[in-house]
Order: sequence, then C-alpha cells, then structure tokens
Amino acid sequence: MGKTILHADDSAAVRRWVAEQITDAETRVVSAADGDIALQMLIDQSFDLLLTDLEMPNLDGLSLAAAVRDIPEYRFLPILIFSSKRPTEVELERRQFVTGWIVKPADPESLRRWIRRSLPR
Amino acid sequence: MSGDDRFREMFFEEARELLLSLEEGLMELERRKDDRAHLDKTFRAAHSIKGAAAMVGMSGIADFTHGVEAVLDKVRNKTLNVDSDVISTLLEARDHLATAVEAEAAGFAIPAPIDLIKRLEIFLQDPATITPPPAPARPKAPVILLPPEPPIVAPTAKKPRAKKGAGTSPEAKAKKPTKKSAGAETPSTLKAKPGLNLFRISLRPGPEMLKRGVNPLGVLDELRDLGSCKVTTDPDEIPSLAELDPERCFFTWNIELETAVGPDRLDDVFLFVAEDSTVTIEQIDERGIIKIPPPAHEAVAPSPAVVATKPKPLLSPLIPPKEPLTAIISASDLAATILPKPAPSKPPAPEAPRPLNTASNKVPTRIRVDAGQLDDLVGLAGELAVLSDNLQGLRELEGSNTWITTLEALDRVSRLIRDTTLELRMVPVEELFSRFPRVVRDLADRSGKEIELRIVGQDTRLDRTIVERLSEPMIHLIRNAVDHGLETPEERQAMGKPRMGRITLQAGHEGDRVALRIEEDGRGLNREAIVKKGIAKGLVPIGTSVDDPRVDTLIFEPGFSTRDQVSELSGRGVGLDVVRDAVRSLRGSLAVESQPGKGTAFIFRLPLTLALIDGLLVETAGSRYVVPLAQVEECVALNGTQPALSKGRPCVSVRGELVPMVPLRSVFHCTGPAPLRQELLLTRHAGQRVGVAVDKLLGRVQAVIQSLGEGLGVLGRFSGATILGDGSVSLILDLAALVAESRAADTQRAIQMQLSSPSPQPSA
Repeated sequence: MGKTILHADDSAAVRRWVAEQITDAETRVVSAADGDIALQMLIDQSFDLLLTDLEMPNLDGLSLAAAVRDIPEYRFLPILIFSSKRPTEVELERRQFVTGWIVKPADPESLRRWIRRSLPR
Repeated sequence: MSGDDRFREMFFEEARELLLSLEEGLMELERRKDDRAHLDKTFRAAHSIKGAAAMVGMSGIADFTHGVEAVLDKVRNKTLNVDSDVISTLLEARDHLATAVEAEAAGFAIPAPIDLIKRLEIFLQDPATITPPPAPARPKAPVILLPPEPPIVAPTAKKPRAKKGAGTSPEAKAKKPTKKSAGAETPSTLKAKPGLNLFRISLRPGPEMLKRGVNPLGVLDELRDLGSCKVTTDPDEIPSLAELDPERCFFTWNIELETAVGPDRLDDVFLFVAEDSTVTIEQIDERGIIKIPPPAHEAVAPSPAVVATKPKPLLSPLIPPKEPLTAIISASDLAATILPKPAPSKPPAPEAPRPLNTASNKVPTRIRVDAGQLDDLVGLAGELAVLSDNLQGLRELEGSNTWITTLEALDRVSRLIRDTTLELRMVPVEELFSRFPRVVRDLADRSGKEIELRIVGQDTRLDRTIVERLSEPMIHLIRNAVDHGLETPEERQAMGKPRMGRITLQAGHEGDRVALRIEEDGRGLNREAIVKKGIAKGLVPIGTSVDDPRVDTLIFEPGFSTRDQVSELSGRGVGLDVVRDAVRSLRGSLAVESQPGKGTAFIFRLPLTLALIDGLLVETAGSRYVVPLAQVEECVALNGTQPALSKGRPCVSVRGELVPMVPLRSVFHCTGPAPLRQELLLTRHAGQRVGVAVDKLLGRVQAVIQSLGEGLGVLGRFSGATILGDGSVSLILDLAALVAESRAADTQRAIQMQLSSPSPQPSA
C-alpha cells in the first residue's frame, strides 16, 4: 500500500529536494511551507509520516509535533525532524514527541532509509 | 546532473530573497531588538540559507552562515547585546554571503574571510558583550557546535538490562535470567560459521518508545535484511492484562544474527532506538567465545544520548521520565556507535561547558611539528603565491586561452596553500594570557592591592611568534597597571570605587589586525605631570595643553617616567619605550587611552601574521619599495600640485581636506627632479590622515617578509625586505614609522624654532 508523507520546510529548495528524493511508486510526498499549513493538512488528510524542519514561520517543527500528538489518529505517527540542528541543541522536554532526527545535510540514501524504516508496516 | 542544477537554481533564487530579508532584518535589528517576531524572522532568514545551502552541497556557505545564525540566535535569546559592532559585522557577513552565492551561481566557490569568521566567533565567545538574560528562569543553552564529551558506555555483556522500573516488578525481574547469565549458559551452542559474524543482540525498547512513534519492528526487519535472524522474546515480561498498558512496549527481544556484515553496520541499525532503549550486542566467534564489539568510535562519536541535564519534567511520578532521543543521522554520523542507555538509576552526566568549534564535530587529531620547519613551509608557500602571481601575467598574452583555467587554478591553489600554512602558525592568545592570572596574583600579594583579573577573547588567534614575543611587554604593562594604575584599596574606597581593582585583558579583531587591550580601572594618567615632564625633557613645546593628543604618547618616549620613586614592582629601568619598540618590531602599534579617575588602557594592535603581507609596489627615484597594503587607506594622484606649507610642513588638499605630506624623495634625500605626476599614499597616523608621496605605483604584490640583518634592523623606516617576482630585492616601507619619524623631526624643528624665539618663560 502506498504511503503518504508530509514534509514541512520553509525552504522551497529543500522541499523540492526532499520530494524528488523520496517520491517513488510506493511513496507520495506532500509539502507544506510552514507549520500551520502542515498542521491543517494533517487534519484535513491522512498521512503516514511527518518529516519536518524545526525553524519555520508561524508554527515551528517541535510545536507542530506536539500539536500532532494531540490529534488522536496521530498519537503514534512517526515524526522525523529534518533540521540542521542536532537533537542535543534542543531541550529534552521539547523533543519528547519526536520519533527520529535527521541532521541536514543528509545524503538521499540515508534520508530514504530512515523514512523507510520509520514508516509503519 | 540536471536535477542537481535545478536545485541549485532554486537555491540561488531562494537565497537571494532570503539575503534581502536578512539585510532588512539586520537594518532594523537595533530598533526592534525587543520585537520577538522580527528577531525570529531575521534569524530564520539566516537559518534557511544555511539549511538550503547545506542541502545543495555548498558547505562553505552553510558553514559560514552557521556563524551568522549563531550570533543572531544569541541576539534573539538576549545573551548578546545588539550594538553597532554586532550589526555592522552581521551586515558585512551578509554581504559576503551575497557575494559567495553569486560566485557559486557563476560556478566557483569563494572562501569566507577568516577575519570575518573570527569576528563572528568573538560574539559567540566574548562574555563582555553579554548581558544577562532578563528572565533568569532557565539559562538558555549556549550555542553548541560540539556535542558534549560523551560518557559513552561501550556495549558490554556485564551491563544488565535497564530496569525501567515502572513496567515490571522487581520480583518478576529476579526470576528471569539476565543477559549475562543467559550468555553464560549457552556459549557452547553458539558458534559463528566461517566467514560469517554471529551476534547476540538484546533489545529492550523503552516503555515510552511507542508514544514517540518509533516502530521497533523496523529494527527487527532491518536486522533480517542483514542476514539470518533468530528472534525470541520472553513472554513473562508482559504484565497481566489488568496491568497491561497497550501503549507501552514490554518486550525484550533476544536476537541471534548470522551475518556477513561487521559490528559497525549493526550499530547503525540501532540508532533510532538506542537512546530510549537498552541494547547490548555481543559477538561470538568460531570457538564460541564472546567478544564485545568495540563501539565504532568511542572518542569521536558525537553523543546524542547525552543531553542537557534537565530538571525532571513535572510528570506524574508513576511515569518514567521521558527519555531523550538518540537517533541522529547525518552522512558523517551514519557509522556512529550504538549507545546503550546508561542504567536509569544513573543520572545523566551534567552538561559540561563545551568548546566552540565551528569546523566539525570531530575531535581533531594533532601532530607536533618543528616550528622551524613550519616557518620554512610558510616562506615557501608565500613564495609559491608570489610565483603564481607572476605567472598570472601570462593571461594577457596572445594564445593563452588554453592555459587560463590552469593559471586560475594555480592562483587559487597557491593562495589556499599559503592561507592554510599561515593558519598553521596561528595559536590562540590563550597561550599568552594563561600565565597572567598567576602574575597578577603575585603582584597583588606584593603590592597589597586587591585585584580581579578578567580575560576576554582568549580564543583569538595570532601568529605564534607574536604570541611568544608579546609575553614580556604584556607582563611589563600588567606590572605598570598594578603599580601605577591601580590605587590601594583604601584610596579606592575613599573615591567611592570598589575596593577591588580590576584588570581586563581583552583580545579581539580590528579589521585585519588583532587588538590586545590591557585595561585597569585605576587612577588614569596624570596628564599634568606628563606635560610638565615632557616640557622639561624638551619633547613637547612649552605651553602644550594638557588635552593635546600628543601628551599620552609621551609616556612611550625613552626614559620617561612620572613616578619619582622607583617602585619595587615595575621600576626595573625599563620604560614604556621598550614595550613600544617590541610591538613595533612585530609590525604592531601601541596606543593608550586614559580617563582621569576611571582608568587606563594600553592597546596593542598587531598583524595576524608576520610572515607575509599584501603590499603595494611603488617606485621613487628609480628604487622600488613595498608598502604594506594594510597601512594604505587610499591612493590619490598628485598632478604637479605644489604642496602648501602649514606650520612649516608641506600639506596637500585631498578632496578639500588639508593633509600633511611626507615626500619620500626628501626623506631618502633623493636628488633629481620629481616627476610631474606623483602618487600620494594616504595613511593614518595618530588619528590623522597623512600622505606619503611616491613617484609611481607599480601594482599589488604579495610579499614574503625577510627580516633585515642585525645592522639594518635598526632602521625604523623598513620593516623588512622581500624578493620580488623578477628576483630583485625590495625594501618594505613602514609608513607608520616613516610618518612618525618625519613628524618627530617636524616637532623637534618646531620646538627649536620656539626655543630660539624670545620666550617669557624661563624654563628649558
């Protein structure tokens, strides 16, 4: 069954790059330009994984993650942070909703791999 | 690849927009420094440039932007005060980024100016510019570019499975064999087949793992992809249905994996689950002996597992504290070690202050080299740059098209070699400063004064030779500060100052120079005494005002001391003139700033390196000289303008400003008529613009400085000699010394004129 991934990043170049790297026969990528848009999309549609930047206008990635965990359907949604920040740079309690962390820049292969692994069967 | 090109194009477009937004943000930064939304927006502009640049592989731009971002983050967190220095540095950095982006768009990369990087770094380090955050609720984490020293625990068979406590009762645990005993029971049944590795792995996911959306089955799947896998679990660990919380994970998986891959690859598999979970890996060899695979790189691996010590979140005591997340993936970290969770009873290691390191997250390996060899290398690298400079002339020749790329590459590479080797000579001034706390303490003890020493900017890097040779002059100035500058505690108290005097040593960048400041909050210079003594010694004209800027520099004159009794501490027969000479010999300058009752600061301004200068090749009366470019502010043509005389000095008008002029021809007593058209090199001396007239400008050169021999070294006008591209030797002019010398001669003349004229004052 095909999977749908929501990617939130305020950089168009990064959105484009991620979409190109991840999209395949099995996987569809929907992009959002900030946290608010991403949250609205999550509410409106169903996604299998959220990949998000940290620093974004309107709603940052970690607040987005926290908001997502409040939505019953998404309590166990894999949420991957894709940021140039390292997890150690972020306070622990703000990271508690996060499944995994991919530090930018990542090579396409590892990005695909971590997404593949995090996706529910 | 066309795909890559598209991303690059997108990046350029986006970066241009973001740079505009960054510029706007910076312009408004001071005015809107309390406007969080504005700060966020400005920060985000930098952050997005960094992220996007990293994605398209422009790591130079990404790394540089990181510094900008870090400074903005400090501004945003109110740990860095916004002043004009911060803003102008950030704007300069933005401009560099704009240039770098356009350069990339045109197909080449330009390196970030080291100086600019350092200035940004200063903001990240310098506690003097830090104001305490207004809300002291929780100190913000500093900008961290290096993960903390990892208390990485190697996976060991001895490590018991983590007892996460809340999930299982201790009695239930006690019934079950531990990992270790299970291993001890079965060694003979397990043997690795030749050519294959056999691992025994225990994975105990943290109880909160599911709530973070981690799928532990993914790990098992991944292991199955690696080889043949036998997975077992212990159903006893699952609590009774009444107690069972379906949102928690109670399993421990024991996995026997037969695989062709090595332990490194295994570490990788557990990255995502490692922090929250307990993972042990044992390797069993052909004889059934258990080996513990060493962690992939114990010392080097960043330890994502170790996070800031946090006060425990105020959760229900029944719920175990949320664990930090380990998985951290980047191209460089893919081989990172697995990090078995330290036993939960062990509190996380307290967060140690981390060194700032923009370069990488690796612990650098160091090798020792002979300093002499290094100097040779610097010299050779410099010569290479000069030779390459000369070859660039070939580009003008006809038919050179085929060589242009090679010539350009040669130019770039030789410069890089030169810059890199120069960088090797640089050491942090910390090496110099580190001995001073001891010196100050000793001096304080002996003088009976109470002194606090502050050191700022000790990461600033300087040429090793400079650092070595500055030690004595600095100690001298510190002695002076204790002896002459600072008052006794009683005097200070009487003046309403704190009893404890303060000496501040500060290092930082000023343009292409490094400034070292030695400052105390003592009594300040006694200008009246200095003027009196200056007049008595014939150094300044009679009637010189106390406010005359020359007064402060008098203290650097030989044999000048205003203190009558020679003190035990600093009276060693060495005056400030020795300090000044020492600094000049390093191509630096010494200045003093003082406010009565407030204190005195001595400022060394020094070149970053001694080995090489960017110079201007000039000609006067048939001889060629190199002038350090750093000393030249501007060049203007003198089209036969006759210098006017002002107070007996020749002056010329430069855009309406009357500038004193020093004709090189007359300084060197050249004969023959000067050409009609001369060039004026404008430099700055004691805060004033001064012009040095030369016959011709020949162009820019990079000069490897060779010191003059013993005999010639005393000539202050020359800071050295260099070999030009055509093999001829040229002297390097020291404009500052030249101007100072000429001004001193003028002053001397003025005094003599005054002395010879009838004067009502009897002294002389």
